[in-house]
Amino acid sequence: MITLGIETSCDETAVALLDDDRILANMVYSQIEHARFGGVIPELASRAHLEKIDRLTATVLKKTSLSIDKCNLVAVTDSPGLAGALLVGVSFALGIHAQTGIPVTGINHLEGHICAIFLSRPDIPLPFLALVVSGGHTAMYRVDNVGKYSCLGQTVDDAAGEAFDKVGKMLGFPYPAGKAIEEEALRAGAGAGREAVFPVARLSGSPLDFSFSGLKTAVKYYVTEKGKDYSREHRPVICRAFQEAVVASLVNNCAAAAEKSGCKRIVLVGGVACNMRLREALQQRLGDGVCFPPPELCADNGAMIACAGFMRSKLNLLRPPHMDPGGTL
Amino acid sequence: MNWILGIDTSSVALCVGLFRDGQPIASYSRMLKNSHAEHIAQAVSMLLDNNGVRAGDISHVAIAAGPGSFTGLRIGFAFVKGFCLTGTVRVLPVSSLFVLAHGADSGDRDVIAAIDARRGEIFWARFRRDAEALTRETPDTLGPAPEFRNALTAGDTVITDTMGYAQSTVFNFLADRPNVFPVERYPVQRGFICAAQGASLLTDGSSWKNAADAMPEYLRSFSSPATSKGPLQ
Repeated sequence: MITLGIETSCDETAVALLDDDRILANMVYSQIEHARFGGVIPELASRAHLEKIDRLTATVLKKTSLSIDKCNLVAVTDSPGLAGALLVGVSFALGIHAQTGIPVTGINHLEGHICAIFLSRPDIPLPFLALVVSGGHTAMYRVDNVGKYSCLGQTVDDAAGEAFDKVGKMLGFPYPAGKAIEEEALRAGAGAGREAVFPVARLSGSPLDFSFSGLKTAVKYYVTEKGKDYSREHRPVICRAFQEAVVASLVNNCAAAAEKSGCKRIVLVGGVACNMRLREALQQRLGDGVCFPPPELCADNGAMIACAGFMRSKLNLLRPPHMDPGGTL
Repeated sequence: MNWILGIDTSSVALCVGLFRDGQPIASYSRMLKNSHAEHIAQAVSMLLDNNGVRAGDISHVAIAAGPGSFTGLRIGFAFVKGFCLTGTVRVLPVSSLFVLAHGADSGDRDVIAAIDARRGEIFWARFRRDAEALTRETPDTLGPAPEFRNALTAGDTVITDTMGYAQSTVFNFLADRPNVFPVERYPVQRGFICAAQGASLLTDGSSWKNAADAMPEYLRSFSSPATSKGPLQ
């Protein structure tokens, strides 16, 4: 079964072709247009998606030597995300449907992230816990099957990736700042002093929820108190302390969720799952039960959306796209 | 045989129209605020099915290219780009103001089409009706409301579109003026007009584009967050 996957929920225009769960092509255009603004500008994102979506699709088809009429299914992200950006992908998919009659299914972006694991570990046993960590989302789900998800906890304010970007902005890194902070933290070295220590949020009453807003504010106060020169000179240490606080929060909640649910398999997905320190800490704490898709399938991509479409089609769970920018899983 | 599909999603109404060579076949128009994406595929399929036309028969698509609702324009263009992915269909972008100007029978007077662009600005253009054809007098323009007011002359026919904006006040000064046609009260079959324009330009190869090269004419360029909501917080 050939599935075309289309992802335009934020600032990546992504298209992929799958033959069942095998990737034939997976191409992503990351919108560098936002870097100069220090964050994603929704109008700019929508314009850039429209400029790229058909050319990217044509390139993917050419790369695989397939014509669009060989596709059996079009899977497109329809929630959650930026409304204007989602509309471009959904309308494009509906145009393909109107011309070819190929069925179109809407896919929840978070479900797409979770299904990315089936591309690298198609045999992964169910159920498992999925920690979705990206620039827009931080949530933990128990996955009993494709289409059967229970939310165990989620962020009550900022997403983890969002905290990386905002702290990165304070410290003078360009957007997106996740990779830069990780690299800067490495420069602090393992034996560096503990000049900076930031709090790890624990939410009484909802112990599996996350919060990163206070951490972000703590970094802001620290940088303001110490001054520009000190912060510039000690940037690696600040980055390391911030990253350790984020990692501790995510790892602690994963351990607690594993204990509470009795489910020892944990899948880490989303853009922040590319962070090597987070991968290392999760494995140290939770052992061999932890797994991740390869980095290229952690960030937003079309293959994960196509995979979710393929898995849903096997279970007769296809549904027409319905725009829901604020939707949850 | 050429089948021409017309599409206009630039304002509140979702409009589609169909021509066979120079012959009008059908059109469909519906007021659908904030739901063009949910209905555009259905509207096109219905238009084609009801007239015994297969999607693969469509050789040309004429689409309202703006100015107008940015989101509406993108829905239309994204749909057309998907529809034309097979690569053989040619696309004609048509000015939304040109389409709108057809909504008024101006006799021998000039007709000015105007759209509320928000922020106290107006998209507008002036056209002249010669015999049965409209010819353009000025380019599509985005300007402050007073500039538009100064551009009007006593004999002009004016057709306005607030794009469903209930709080719109930029056209209030036209209330007592004769020959003013708010599109909300005098609907225009915009998809039909797009298709008709496509039919009239069928032999003009330079007007048609590949779908990949067809983009909306926003008129309002994106410059900096100072003029928008800024980065997501």
